[in-house]
Amino acid sequence: MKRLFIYALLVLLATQSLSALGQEENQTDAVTTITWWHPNSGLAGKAAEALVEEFNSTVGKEKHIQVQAVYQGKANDVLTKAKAILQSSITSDLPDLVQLDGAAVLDIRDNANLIAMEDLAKADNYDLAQIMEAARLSITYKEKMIAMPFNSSTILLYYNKTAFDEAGIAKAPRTLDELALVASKLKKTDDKGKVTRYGFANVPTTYELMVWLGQQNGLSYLTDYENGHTGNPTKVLFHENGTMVNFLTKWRALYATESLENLTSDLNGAFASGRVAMIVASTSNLTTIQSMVGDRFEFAVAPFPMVDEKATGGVNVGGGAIYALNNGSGNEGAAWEFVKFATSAKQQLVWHIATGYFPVNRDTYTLPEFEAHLQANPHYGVAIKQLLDSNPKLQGMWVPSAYQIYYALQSGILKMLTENLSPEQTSKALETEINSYFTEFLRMQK
Amino acid sequence: MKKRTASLLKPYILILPALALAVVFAYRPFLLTLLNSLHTVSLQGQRLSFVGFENYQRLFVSQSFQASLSNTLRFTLYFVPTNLIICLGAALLSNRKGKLATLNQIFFFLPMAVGLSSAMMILKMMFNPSIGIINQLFGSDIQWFNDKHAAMALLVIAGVYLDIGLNFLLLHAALRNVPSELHEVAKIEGANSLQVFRYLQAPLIAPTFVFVLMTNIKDAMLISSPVLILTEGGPFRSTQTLVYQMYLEGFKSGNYAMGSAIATVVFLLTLSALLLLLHLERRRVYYQ
Repeated sequence: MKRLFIYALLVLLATQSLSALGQEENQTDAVTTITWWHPNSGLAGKAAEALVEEFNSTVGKEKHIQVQAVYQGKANDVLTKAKAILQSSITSDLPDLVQLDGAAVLDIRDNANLIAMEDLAKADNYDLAQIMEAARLSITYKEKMIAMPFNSSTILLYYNKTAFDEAGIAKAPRTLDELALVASKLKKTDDKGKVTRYGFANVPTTYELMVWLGQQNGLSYLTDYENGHTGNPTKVLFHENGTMVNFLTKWRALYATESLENLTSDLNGAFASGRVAMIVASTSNLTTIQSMVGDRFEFAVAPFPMVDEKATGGVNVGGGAIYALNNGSGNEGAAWEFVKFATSAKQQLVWHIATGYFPVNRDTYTLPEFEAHLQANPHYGVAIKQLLDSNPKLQGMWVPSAYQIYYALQSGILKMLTENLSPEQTSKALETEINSYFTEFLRMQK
Repeated sequence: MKKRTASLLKPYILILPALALAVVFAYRPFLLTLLNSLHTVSLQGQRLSFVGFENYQRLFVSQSFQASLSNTLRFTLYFVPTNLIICLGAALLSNRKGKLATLNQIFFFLPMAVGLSSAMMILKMMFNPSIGIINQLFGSDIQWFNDKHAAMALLVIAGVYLDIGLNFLLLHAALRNVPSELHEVAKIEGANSLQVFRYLQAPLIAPTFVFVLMTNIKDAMLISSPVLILTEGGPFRSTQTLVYQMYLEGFKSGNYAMGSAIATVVFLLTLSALLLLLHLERRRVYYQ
């Protein structure tokens, strides 16, 4: 009996608090509340909170829009959660805005609940040309910008400046040939012949290969349909056009110097502890690496090395974008207001300084505060100059089975190195395996 | 007569709720998985066309699957004996009287109280090659996430950690059930502890031991969470297990047909291992 009473009390309390919530909502009825799911944690998380606060107290207050930022875990988790709702029929649970990275495009681009950002911009007579072309194209599918680039990054070479000075190396390597030479000079062994410092640590990821192969012949794509930006890829091109063989030849030469370590994880740690003298990593790691290295040694960044002298084309834009979703509330206009604010010249500068992601708004680059910031932090300038010099058409790959392909590339390249296979063999084997994933995917289409 | 039908029906009525749950959450999904594995399935989860065993054919020629299969079998081979020895050892160690024994029991039982994913996150930090405590403590330089053998060893360590709580509990309870009179008799006869274990404890805990062995094999075949959080199948697919590949295909790539095919393969493999064991058990293990 006593227990029954306690249960009744609990139920009563629970319903009480529900109705209290309901009342609160009623009171603020005139204000449109927008939810934004994001994966920003740590420094970026603080910056995202500040951004939302700034919006809510200025533009939002004026236009009666309040943004509610909800941290939903890592980029992957955000996607998993959004995907779960998109696949169910209860789309009213969808957030108005969701921040996802490149891996999400395939899952979301054809969804009926996606509102293309380009349509929202057009309805507002917003000039999309103020967004950097490379960033805009990075989220353009079948000639339509489906989301707004927001946390954009690119890739850099990080090197141990102190080790460079010790070895008498004046400047960072520009090509893979130079990298091999520099790496062998940086390698250190102890009395027993055990390597205590590798020159370079890397196992090429899909993203890195996208750049290394894409920058050849002016501009190359890894797959047909422009890396999946104009349709579902049906086959890879890297074997036919020889870009993979060319890269693998250089890579094997690099490995032959015995100064390359095949590291797939904890690269930042290996670099920061001084065990590896050079790594390539995203610009978004800059702040993290800076704090990990501390004052143990001096480090610097340089443009991402090219395959050879002939390779041009530069690097592409990675990172994430904000998607607008239709949850039946008719809030897309209000959501657009926030997106416009978040990618405005001024807010992108604040975001850039706080996180290291580069500004996607072209007008940011002409702000005097921006120039002052670059002068004080020359590391950031390297990435931005590199990106501005790149061919904007060089774009990330949107492929199905992205994880399987990532592991296929890793394992294939390792097999070539350790079993001494030829670059031709390896390239052919990769072509066969990756094409089979595309075939799988096409079979799944109606 | 009426009474007889009632008593005949009673067990069936009693099992109905459990059966209903099993149908909804186990049998139906299982049949759907089987069905999906024989079709092509769209990203939205609709079956498109019947393809027979084509998915399985594709699977068995794929290098990725071969790697998963060999990794899973290798893991089972390392994990099951290691885990059994450690859990049995722990149970024997704490099967004593005295205040410290209770402390032992709590110590071995504690892993059960820690959330699975948080435990894995902690392990990931501890085994981090450059900043982790393990390498610092032992002055070693093991690349836990970059060396194939170290990564597999790490997986076994994580697996044992996950399983030790429950296995210890079961074996410990079984050892406690060995009648103390028999113990005393054996001691009077002058048996040492090895002999006590060999001729007295081992036969009496055999049923529990077989149960633990079976769940261990099942756990090993289905190993996924340490792979997901600790190694992500790496380096170079060396720790990619069947269930992890199923996760990649089914959830990451949306390829439900392939995911279902892998799930079916895992099921058949585990089932045959367990059937074989049951067959052996019938001849070797005696129940009181």
